[in-house]
Amino acid sequence: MLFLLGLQDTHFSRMLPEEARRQKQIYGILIAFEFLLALAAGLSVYTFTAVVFQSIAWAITAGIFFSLLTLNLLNLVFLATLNPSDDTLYKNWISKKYSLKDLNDEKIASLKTNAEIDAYLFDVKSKIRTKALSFQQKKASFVFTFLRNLFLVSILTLLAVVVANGLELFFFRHEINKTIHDLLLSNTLTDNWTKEHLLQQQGGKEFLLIESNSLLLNLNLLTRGLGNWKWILDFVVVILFLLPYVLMYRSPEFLKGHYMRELVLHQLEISGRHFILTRQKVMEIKVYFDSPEFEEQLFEKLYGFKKP
Amino acid sequence: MERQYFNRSALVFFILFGLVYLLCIPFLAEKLFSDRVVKEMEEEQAQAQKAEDWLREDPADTASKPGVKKIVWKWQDFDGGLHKISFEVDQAKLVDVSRFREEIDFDGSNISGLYSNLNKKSKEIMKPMIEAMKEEIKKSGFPSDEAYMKSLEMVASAVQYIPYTLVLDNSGKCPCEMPFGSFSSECQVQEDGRGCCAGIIPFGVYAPAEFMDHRKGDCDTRSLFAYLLLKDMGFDVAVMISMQKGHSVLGVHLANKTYPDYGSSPGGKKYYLWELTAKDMPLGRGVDGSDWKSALN
Repeated sequence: MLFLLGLQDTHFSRMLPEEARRQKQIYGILIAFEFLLALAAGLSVYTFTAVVFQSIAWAITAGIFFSLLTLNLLNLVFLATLNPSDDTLYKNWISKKYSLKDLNDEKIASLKTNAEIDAYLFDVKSKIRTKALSFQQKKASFVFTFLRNLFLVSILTLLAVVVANGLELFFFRHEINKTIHDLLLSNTLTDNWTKEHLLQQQGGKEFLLIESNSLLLNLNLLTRGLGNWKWILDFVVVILFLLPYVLMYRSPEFLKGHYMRELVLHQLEISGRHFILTRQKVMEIKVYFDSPEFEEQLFEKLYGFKKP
Repeated sequence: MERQYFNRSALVFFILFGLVYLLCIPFLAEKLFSDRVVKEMEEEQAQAQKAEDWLREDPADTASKPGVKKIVWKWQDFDGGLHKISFEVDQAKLVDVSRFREEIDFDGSNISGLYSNLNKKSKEIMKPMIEAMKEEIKKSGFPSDEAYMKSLEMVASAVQYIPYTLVLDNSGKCPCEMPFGSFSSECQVQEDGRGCCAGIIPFGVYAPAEFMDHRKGDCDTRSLFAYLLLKDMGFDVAVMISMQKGHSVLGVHLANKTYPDYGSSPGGKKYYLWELTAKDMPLGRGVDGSDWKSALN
């Protein structure tokens, strides 16, 4: 299931068993959060669509679609916080602070095959891993961080409030139906248009979920019926949506966790491989430039005849 | 310690999620949902019905002595409060003010002069109404820090409460289509605001005393009426006109408040704009145009 978050199994296999177990557990729980929230969003949209379109097929389709959309959106928002610092990469690899100081031309030349390069990089990674590096989150400017968080929190809050309303309509549908019946019985609704168009289905069909096709009327009855409880329930759903984000942002097990360490080491390995291959190519070209054949070829190209 | 942060947060998440989904249990949902909704809505409806009944014309209100007309104004203010004022006016004076208006020599250029003449002629006749309005304001007992604005709102709501009637001069005729709606051929106050009076000379404007009597009026009649009433009560107000929009509203000068849209007097004094043709329209809302000038201040 971890692949749903875009997590790779190979990174877990390089951790100690206890580290891997814990990391799998916390990312697994994160996926559970996402699934539960996406389920809530799907249920909410199912309710809205059922009320507006009065079609079970449309309601289920819209519910599934929105559920998947929410799953992706949450994935994007949560994982956007896992951002290893470029500075860390630089300090640990390019500056050769730890393990590349012995990577001179002689050593690079000695790495003849891919297997040798892999073995060398594996060794370097193992050494860096034991240094207990801290992979800090990328330090962005305050304004950028503030705006980004404001944007993400606003999106999550907006989504949460919409979902909360849908869930409340679903959970309290029996109470809303009872209220509508009581209103009709008490003759409080004197407006015929409301009775004919909002409280009566065309062709004498039965209503789905709530016995009115007006979302505004239903929300009005819901708000009046729940009173302050509506605010509390909305607030709880907003917390549910924001909690995983805050957790990703604040929990040391995510930002400074073992998976992040493996992810950074993986990035280092990629850069290291390209560094070695590039250096080998440079050396190859250099040897060619220093050879007598190159000198002869250059002479011929410049003067139009072979060097005597 | 590191683990505790995640573990506790996860626990909170699952508990909250569980609590929300506990509402699937009908018993709990029933407990949270108040059954007072129907009762509240019934009460609201009864209250609205009561207000409607109260505001309806009562024949007893208009019973008059010979030569004297009893006029009753009833309206609902911005806060839903119901108001009623009644006063008596000499019928001959009302006939006289209409004649006076029709005989004004107006060449179409001096609007301020026309408004001023209509104003002067109406002032004496409207004294009983002004006194009754002052009494109503006093009776409402507004707190001193709100009294100024609330009094202004009281008068504005009284004017706004009357449905719109289009007033045309000789060049216009009813029924007609205007950019802001279609109007019938009846010179009556109609609930839908589609009444239309033609042949009201000069300039399609009633004198304030006439408006007080029959309550038919469009933008300039209303602004002029509210101006007279408020000016006499001591408020700094003006009749504002916009040639661009062909519209008139009431202007209010306020020293300690600001609104985005305003017009000015020839002396440069700022007047905030108050639309009087629509119900419950607060000061500074719903007025377009950038050429608002005071025609009378």
